[in-house]
Amino acid sequence: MIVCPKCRALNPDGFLFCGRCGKPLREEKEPGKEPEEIPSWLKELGEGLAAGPGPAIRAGGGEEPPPWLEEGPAEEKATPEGLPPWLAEEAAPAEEAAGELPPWLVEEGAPIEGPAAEEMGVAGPVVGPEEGAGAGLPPWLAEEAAPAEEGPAGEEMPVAGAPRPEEEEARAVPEEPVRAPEPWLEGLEEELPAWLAMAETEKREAEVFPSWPGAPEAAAERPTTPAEEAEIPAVTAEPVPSGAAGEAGLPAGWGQEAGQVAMEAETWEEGVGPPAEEAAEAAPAHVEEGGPGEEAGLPAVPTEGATPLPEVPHGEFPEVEVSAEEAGPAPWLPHVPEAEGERVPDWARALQPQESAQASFLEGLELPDWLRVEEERVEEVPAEPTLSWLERLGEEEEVKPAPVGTTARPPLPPLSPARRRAADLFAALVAAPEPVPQERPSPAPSLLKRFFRWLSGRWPGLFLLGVLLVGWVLPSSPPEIAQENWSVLERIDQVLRSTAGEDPPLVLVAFDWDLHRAGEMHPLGTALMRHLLRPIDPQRDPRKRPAVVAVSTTFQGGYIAQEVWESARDASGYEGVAYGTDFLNLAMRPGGESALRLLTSQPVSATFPVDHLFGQPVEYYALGKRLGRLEGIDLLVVMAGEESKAVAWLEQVRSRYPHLPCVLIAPAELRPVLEPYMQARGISPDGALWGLRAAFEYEDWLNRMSGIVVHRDLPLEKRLNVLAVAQLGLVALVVLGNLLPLGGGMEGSGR
Amino acid sequence: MVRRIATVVLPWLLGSVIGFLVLIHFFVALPELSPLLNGLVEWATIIAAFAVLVGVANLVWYHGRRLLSRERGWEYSLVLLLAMAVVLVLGLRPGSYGVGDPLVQWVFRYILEPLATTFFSLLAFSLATGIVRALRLRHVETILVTVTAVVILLGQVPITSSWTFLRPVARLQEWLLRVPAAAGMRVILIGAAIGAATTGMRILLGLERPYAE
Repeated sequence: MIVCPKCRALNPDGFLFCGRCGKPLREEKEPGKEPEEIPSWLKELGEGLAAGPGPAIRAGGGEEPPPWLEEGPAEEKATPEGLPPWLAEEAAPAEEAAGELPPWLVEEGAPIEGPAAEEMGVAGPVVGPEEGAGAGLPPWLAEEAAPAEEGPAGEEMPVAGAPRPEEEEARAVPEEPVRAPEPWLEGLEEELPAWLAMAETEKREAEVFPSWPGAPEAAAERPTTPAEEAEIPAVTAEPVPSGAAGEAGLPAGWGQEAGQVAMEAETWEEGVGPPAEEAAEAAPAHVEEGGPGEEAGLPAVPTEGATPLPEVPHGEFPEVEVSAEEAGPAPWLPHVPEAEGERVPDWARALQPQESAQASFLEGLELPDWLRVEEERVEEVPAEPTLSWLERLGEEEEVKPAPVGTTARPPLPPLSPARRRAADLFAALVAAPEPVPQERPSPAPSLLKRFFRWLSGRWPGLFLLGVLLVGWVLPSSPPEIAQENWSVLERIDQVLRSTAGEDPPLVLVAFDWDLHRAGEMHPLGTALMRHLLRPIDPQRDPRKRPAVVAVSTTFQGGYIAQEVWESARDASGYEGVAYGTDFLNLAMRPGGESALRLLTSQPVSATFPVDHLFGQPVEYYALGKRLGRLEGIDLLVVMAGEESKAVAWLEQVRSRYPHLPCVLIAPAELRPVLEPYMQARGISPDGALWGLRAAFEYEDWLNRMSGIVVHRDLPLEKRLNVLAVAQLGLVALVVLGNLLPLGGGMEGSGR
Repeated sequence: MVRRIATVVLPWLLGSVIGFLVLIHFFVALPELSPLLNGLVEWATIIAAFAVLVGVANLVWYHGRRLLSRERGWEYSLVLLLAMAVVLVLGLRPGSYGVGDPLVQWVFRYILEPLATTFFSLLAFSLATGIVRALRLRHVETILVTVTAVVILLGQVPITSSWTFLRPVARLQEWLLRVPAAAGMRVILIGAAIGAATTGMRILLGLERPYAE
């Protein structure tokens, strides 16, 4: 047991908080010497017993008070009345309502009829006082009464007012009783934790020991008034068979308490009251003879043949707020009539396990969830008698609506205004229907924005269309040939014309470009092929033409060379040119720079052994027979579409044959990259033609020098205009793209 | 030990010896060794041709797997394989001239060339859009780049009697290409050449063995 440091209430072991006041319990075991400390009033009683000739005290048993009476907190001695505080609190209502009977006492006082009375009074086995106090008690009560059994007083010293052994035998409990569980614990006994079971035990102890055990002292001090005598239960007036007990002058409460223990045990165990005659026999002598207990207002136990209990009007019992569960009859009151159940005095009801007391008792404890849920369920139980568990009790009785306040949990702390507003908002959001999305009316875009939106996906086509229209409409005029390009063209023509000997000049043309460069390279190739295949001196020998050998290191080079050759062959003024004699396509040689390395170190026929068109050996053709090493080549023209190709030719071939006339033809895009090679001594070509502009100038030069028209379907002037307009349009896009954001409104838009 | 010789020492010896010989042959004429060295270079070209065959096989395997597994875009794989098969059949059919066969030449001229030219022509518009977006006048550097691009574009315009006002721009463009652009590009080329020479020497000396990895 643990003593509460605040209220000194006894709490079972394992309690963390006091069951009465809720204060945390420290591990303060009940001092071992405390049971030995006897309250002052008990000491006085003990001394009186030792000095006086108590008739009921057996030899050797009256020197000391019984050990169970010695129990009690040390602080109880300090109370003015000599009572412990808890006992004083319970004694106070007992004094005020001395005439009100506790339910169990009502049961005791009620005339018990039927088989129960017979069984209890007659047929039951006879047990001694020890058995009645110890063996007949439930285990929890036996623990409390253990000192009484073990001590000598428990064995030999019958207390004053206690029945004699033969009387005890008459009201002995026939067998080990089984205590009926409390209604609120029905079905939960097995699930109850140990501490809760102990708490229940302690509560029952409070029921067993009513407040009036402390009354003898007060009763001895003041006389009994007539009104009080009228309220004295009849049991007190019952004659005690052993009148010696009453003559001993023992405190009535002492004997009453001792007898009450056994009676209560019987009551709980059997659920029925003891027989009236047994109660009369068990009544102490002072009760029978109107001893001190009579003055103290001890409740009278009605016995057979005794003065009947005074009728107590129902209206005198105050209304007690009980819960719906409490409204049902307790197991220890199964046979109590409804009216009697309601006629419970306040002080007795205070001892009863009330819901509020239970709630406060369990308030500071760490209850398991299932028990918490049980408490909440109690709150939700309607006051109507619709509970099924009430039907199990077998008896119908009027159930008073339980006041909610008795079991209601303490209200929650008030919400702060902010939280209340948030809660209201949340409730409003939950309650409000889901809003239907409404299209937000967007303002109509301005005309300028709509125009730009329309233009954003169509500007390439519009740009092309505008370029074609403008270039076609603009007045056409011949181009001005750049000085650099003119020099290159003059150099080519000079090489072709300066070739001495009977054999026509031999020109090696490298078609090292792919189709994606056709836009620039194809016009250049066409113009070059027209230039190379034209008669060197049409006036003197129109059949003498340069011999052109096409090679390549790319897969598409052979096809491109064939196409260019065929376009020149089919053009007017080139009648009579023949494949194998004037032109030979040696296709491609894989290996890139390695192939060019071979080309510089061995004959051309060894590097390109077969032609592209028929797959015949080079030597099969007349032109092929002329082919030897690169030293026999009169002119090398490198048409490279990529930087790597141009560099490979310049580094591998041009470097090995620096004196070989060489012209580089490449897209305009490669000019910045290849410009260092153009300025490097030893590997730089004799000249270079860059891009479409050079192609137009080449055509114009051919037209001027030889009257050759490369494209008759589309005049050169018109193409020049279209090219010029397109390039100017790109410049305009760049300028406008930078100026418009500066003008405002489009900064950072990226459009 | 044998494994190390086979995987490290022997490849290094072969690479170094052959590399030094070919390098020397580039600067010094070695008539006696020319057939051998030319044969080694010939091997290189043959290996390059074999790489083409390996590439074709890999292409067929990859797209054939996509076609069989019906992966996303398997239709394009089907077109590629069909085109490859058609060209091969045209070139390898009995009586064909091979790569120079008129049918193969027709496919090249009237299918492949227009497609390639068209796709590459679209690059002009992408470049123009990129120029507009990239060359914003935000910093001094972007201003310089934008002005230079405008000058180069105008310098590419064929000068006719109608566009005589572009002559100064053409001369400015010529100067930009010959002086600043060539200088910058030369620096890049020299740096790349030094790096390539260093790497080549490390490989010849066995300090790096990419062939052994």
